[in-house]
Amino acid sequence: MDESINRRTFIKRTAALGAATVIGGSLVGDLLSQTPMATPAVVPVDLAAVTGNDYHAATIKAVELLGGMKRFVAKGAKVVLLPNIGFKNPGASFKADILMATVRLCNEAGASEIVCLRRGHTGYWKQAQEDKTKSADFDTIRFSGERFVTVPIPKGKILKTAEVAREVMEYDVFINMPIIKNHDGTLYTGAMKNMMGVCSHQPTNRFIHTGGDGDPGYNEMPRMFQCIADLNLVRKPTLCITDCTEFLLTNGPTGPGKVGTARTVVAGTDPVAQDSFCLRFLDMKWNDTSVLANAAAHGLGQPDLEKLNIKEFSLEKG
Amino acid sequence: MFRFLLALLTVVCATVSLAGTGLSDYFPRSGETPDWTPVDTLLVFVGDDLYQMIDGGAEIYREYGFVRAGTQEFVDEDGHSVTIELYEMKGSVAAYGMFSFKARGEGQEIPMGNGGRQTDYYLNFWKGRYLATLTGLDTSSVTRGAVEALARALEKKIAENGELPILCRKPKPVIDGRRPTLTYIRGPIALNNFYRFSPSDIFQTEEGCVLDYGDFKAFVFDYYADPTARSRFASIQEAFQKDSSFTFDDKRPDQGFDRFLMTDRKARGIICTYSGRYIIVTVGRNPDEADKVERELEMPLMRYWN
Repeated sequence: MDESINRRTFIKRTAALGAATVIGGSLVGDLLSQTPMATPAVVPVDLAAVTGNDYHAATIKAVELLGGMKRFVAKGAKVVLLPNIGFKNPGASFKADILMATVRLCNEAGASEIVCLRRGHTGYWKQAQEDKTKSADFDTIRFSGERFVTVPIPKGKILKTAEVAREVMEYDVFINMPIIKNHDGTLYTGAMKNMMGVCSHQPTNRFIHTGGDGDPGYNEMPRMFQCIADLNLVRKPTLCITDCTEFLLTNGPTGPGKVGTARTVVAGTDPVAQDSFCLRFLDMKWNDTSVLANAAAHGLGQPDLEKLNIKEFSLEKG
Repeated sequence: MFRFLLALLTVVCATVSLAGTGLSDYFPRSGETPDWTPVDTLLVFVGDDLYQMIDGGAEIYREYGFVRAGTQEFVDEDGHSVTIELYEMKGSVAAYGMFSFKARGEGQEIPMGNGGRQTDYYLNFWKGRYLATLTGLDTSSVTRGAVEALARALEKKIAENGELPILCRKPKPVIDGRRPTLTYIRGPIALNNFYRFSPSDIFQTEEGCVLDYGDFKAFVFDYYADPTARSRFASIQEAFQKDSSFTFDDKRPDQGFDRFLMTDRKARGIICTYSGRYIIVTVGRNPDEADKVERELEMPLMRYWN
């Protein structure tokens, strides 16, 4: 399963990580950002939140408010998607409508390849396959995520290496697609924790959960919060799209549990800001969890929403 | 010869008994519930393999005491789907604890096993050392009916019974006309889902419960002996005093060696007291509310719990 990365991209990225360690946290985000070539002169908003009953349309509008998918996906770019789609219970998985809208936008921007790292629970893709308006987009998705590479994390405080899906390191564009929801252990899961989805089950995922000694007791939780922040140093997403439409308020991450509804799709480039914003749907603030404080300390993003240009939009109200 | 036969009989009985403990024995078989048939095979996860079944969500089960779990999906001809999860826990106290955590007062109480609750799309019940969760993928009456029918089929096969933990058998005080939802806890992961007192495990409790009244809550931690509770109380007070998230209010009356009051960053009031073998913490929307809750709880707790 393991493969070493020899490609120039990986070497460059590792060099950037090393440089970031020396230069300091504030530049890490920029150095790791995978935003390709065509960055517009003016970025209108840092984070867009679009509310509406049509989640497909809400996704398209949210990305449009950020400057459009061409800002993130250059013609011919290879795109890797990381959706949280493992659980069948209501409010536990990223909505297929949002995923399919993202795939359409990537195709329209000229992506040469779209890889999805998750196959999803039984029946997840059924609607997309049967819906004639979406099946063409579905056919452009290639499923992967079984081939891993070991990546050093020089700036990691606890997690020093991680075995991650090779496409995450090699592809031009990385789109993180979490659903905001309750998590019994870490209290919430969103963009930061969704990065665990790029890891191999053994050894990285298990190390994050148990420290390698097989005992996932509470004393492991603070180190788990640090490991999640460390893991996010591997690669900053080009784009984050968070499903805040219907989500678990209790018994997450699997459910079944109480389901909250906000009918909102949130898009942005900063995973820390993304989670900080989306926590409102769980009646939490960013400093209710040490995951975001640890990530901010790594220079991975801005949790203070006052410092961001946020655009909220309603499909119904305009 | 008699001894040999007795020994043989013992071995045979033990073997049958072990075989009988297989989780698959409890799951409904094809044709057992009309119109509903199992999809694929039953998946069983033992110990740490629980991470494969619920990646990222296994810690809470481990805190309560997890042994193994089985899961299987059932469907009807119209495409309705119900998933059964059956968890074998380390004893009935662990099963009840996990049940109380998952159910948390949602939905309606139903007479099933040693206790059950059903919402519009899922049902939890516990019986003996087993906890069952049945989830329908929709809220139609057909699916709801199947959730209950499959649960009954499962329940019927679990012969053993369990009792509530002693801590949870006590009367629950009604405050302001509100009846609390009771959750039995066995560690900080469950506790943090109600209030995050500290990143560290400052209570170090093995057993406690949360009386959740909605806007206000009470936490009761059992330390089994007065000196242990007193010593832990002092450690907890010291930990809170070092934590900048909390502000102590020394000016309020009735504070002393067994009681202190503080506010958190959201100006919620928190009162911590110890009474015999218990430490009691009340959290209200403001200090006055926390104070009121603590006073209303004090007498019933003193009368029934010590």
